[in-house]
Amino acid sequence: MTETDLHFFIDSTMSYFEETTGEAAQPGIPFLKGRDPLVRDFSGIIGISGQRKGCIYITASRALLNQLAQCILNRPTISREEMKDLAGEIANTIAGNVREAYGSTFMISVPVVVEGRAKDIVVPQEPPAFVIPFTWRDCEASLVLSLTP
Amino acid sequence: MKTLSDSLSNDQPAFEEPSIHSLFLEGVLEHAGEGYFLLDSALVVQNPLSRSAMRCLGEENPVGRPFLKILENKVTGEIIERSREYLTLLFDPDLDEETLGEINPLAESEFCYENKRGLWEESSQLRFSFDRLFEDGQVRGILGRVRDVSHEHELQKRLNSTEHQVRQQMEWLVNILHVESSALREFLAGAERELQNIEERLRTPGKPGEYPQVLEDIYRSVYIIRGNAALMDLSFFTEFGHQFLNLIADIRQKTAPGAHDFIPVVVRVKELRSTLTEVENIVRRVSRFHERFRAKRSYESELLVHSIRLLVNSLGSELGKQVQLVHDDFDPMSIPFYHRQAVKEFLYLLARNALYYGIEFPEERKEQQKPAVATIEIASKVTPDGLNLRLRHDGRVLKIERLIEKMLVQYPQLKEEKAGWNDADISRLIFTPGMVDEEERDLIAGYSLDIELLRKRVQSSGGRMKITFTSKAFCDVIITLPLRK
Repeated sequence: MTETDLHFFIDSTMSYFEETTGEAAQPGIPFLKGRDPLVRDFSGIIGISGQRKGCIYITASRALLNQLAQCILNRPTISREEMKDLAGEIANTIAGNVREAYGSTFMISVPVVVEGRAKDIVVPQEPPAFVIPFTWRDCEASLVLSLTP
Repeated sequence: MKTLSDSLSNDQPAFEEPSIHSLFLEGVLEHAGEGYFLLDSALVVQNPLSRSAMRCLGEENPVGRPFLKILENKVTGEIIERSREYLTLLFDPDLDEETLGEINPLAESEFCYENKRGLWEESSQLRFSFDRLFEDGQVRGILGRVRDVSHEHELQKRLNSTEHQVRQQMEWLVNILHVESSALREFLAGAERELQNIEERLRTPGKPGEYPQVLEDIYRSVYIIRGNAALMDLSFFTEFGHQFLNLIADIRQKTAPGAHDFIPVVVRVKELRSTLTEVENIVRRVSRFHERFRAKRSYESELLVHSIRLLVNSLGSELGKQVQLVHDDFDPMSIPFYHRQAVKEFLYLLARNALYYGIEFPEERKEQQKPAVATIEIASKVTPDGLNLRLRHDGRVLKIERLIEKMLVQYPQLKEEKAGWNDADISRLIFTPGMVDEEERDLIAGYSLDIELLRKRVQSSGGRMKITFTSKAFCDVIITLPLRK
C-alpha cells in the first residue's frame, strides 16, 4: 500500500463520521499490525478482490457503535443487531468509497460482522497490515488494512 | 421471437437435447479441458451448455440468464463493462476475427465464487474464447468456450515471483557478501531491536502533544540502524536510512506534527520490515558459505588497517580536512577473531566521529598553532584486563562550552555544581545523549547518536570505555574488551 492509499482510507473513514454525525473522528498514528490480536466488541470485515486483494476491517467498541447508532437513528435504545449492522455498514461504506475512487478494477464482498472478543482476525503477515486507530467522542476504534500492493 | 436455439435446432440436429452429437461434442471438449456454452444476440445463455462450463461459471442453471449478469460479483465491474462492449462487437460481421480475439477482456480473468451468504470462498483463473456462428452472412450466435487455467496460472505466478525473488536476492547477496555472517547476524539483530522499538513507539504514541518525542525516538533508532549499516558498508541500508532520516527531519520542522504526518514514516517502516525479513532469509542461507570461504587471518588484518586508512583518506578529502593515520602501535594480529568485527566497528565509528566533529579544517588548525595535517593514531595492546584499543586525535572535542551552556539552560540547578566539574564530569555530559543545539542540531545530534551507538556496542561486547580530552588539543578514547580464557 502506498502513502496515497493510506491517506485515502483515513480520509474516507473520517468523513464517514463527519457526514453521518456532523462530528469528525480523530485519526491516530498508523502502525503495522503485529501478531498481537486487534479486535474490539464488533468488527465489520470486507473482502477485496480484483487488482488489489485482501481485506479491510473496522473494529469498534460497543460504546462507539451505541453512540453512533443513537446519532443516526435518533433513538436512545439501540439493539445488539443494530450495532452489528452498523459495524458492517461502516466497513461497507468505507470500502464502497474506495471503490468509487479507484474505479471498477476491484470488487468488494458483502460485509461480515464478528461480534465479541474473537481471539483475533487473522490477516496475512505478508505484506504487513496497516492499522489506523481513531477516536470518535473519546471512543476508540481501528481500521485495519491488509491489501496486496 | 425466434431464438438462436430454435434456429439452430431446426437446422442443426447437433444442438438438440442430448443428442449423440452434443454428447460427442461435450466429450471431446471435456477431454480437452474446455466447457462450452451458447449466447444469443441478447447475450443470454442458451443450450447447449456443457457441465464443465456450468462449473466454470459457478452457476447450476445459467440457461436463460444474461451472460453479463452471471459475471456480476465474479469479476470486476471494469471487466463486465468491457465484456459488454466486446460481445456486442462480436455481432458485427464486418469485424475480423483476429482483431476481436486481441481485445477479448475475458481472455484470462480471475473468477471469484460466492457462497450462499455472499462471501467469496474460492476463485479460479478462467480463459474464455468466443467463436461467432454465422448464418446467411449474419452473426446469429456465439459459441463460448471456457477453460480453467488456475493451475497453469498459479505455476506461472510462482515462476514470476521466484524470478523476481532470485533477482532481488542476488542484489542483496552482492550487497552483503563482503560482511562476515556473524557480523551480519549481529547487525540484523540490532536492526530488529531498533525496528521493534520503532513499531512499539508507533503503537503507543501517547497524546498528540507527545508526537514530537515519538519522532525523536524513531529518528534515534533509524540513526542507529544507519550507523551500523555504514560501519559494515551495507550501502542499501545506509542509503535507505539516510533517506528515512531526511524524511523525519522534514517532519520535525513542523511545530505540531499530526497523525497524517506519520503516514510516510509507517510506510518506510513497512519497507524496512520487509527488507530485513528478506535479508535475514538470505543470511541464513549463505552463512555456511561465508564460514567456508573466510579469508586468511593475516590478510584480514591487513584489510582492517587498509579499510580504516581508506575511510580516513576518503572522508578527510570529502570534508576538506587533512589527516594522517598512524598505526605503528596497532597490531591487528593481536585481536582475537571474536572481537575482530567489533574492533573494526569501534575504530570506524571513532575515526568517522573524529573527522566529522573533532578535527578542524587546516586554516582553523593553523590559527590555533596546530599543524595543518591532523593525526589520528590507533593502537592496540593486550593487558591482564583485556584488549585495550585506543584512538587518539589531535582535534578539538565538539563545542564543549556550547554543550555546557545548553545543559545549564535545561537544568539550571546544575549551575552551582558547574564550578566543581572536572574532566570526567564534562565527559559524562558530552556523552549524554540528547545534548542538542538548535542551531547545529543535525551536527550535534549526529555526534551524540554516534557516541550513544558506540557506548551501546561497547557495552554489548562486555567492555568499557574511557575518554580523556581537552577542549582544543586532543581526544583520547580507550576501549577495553574482555578476553576469553
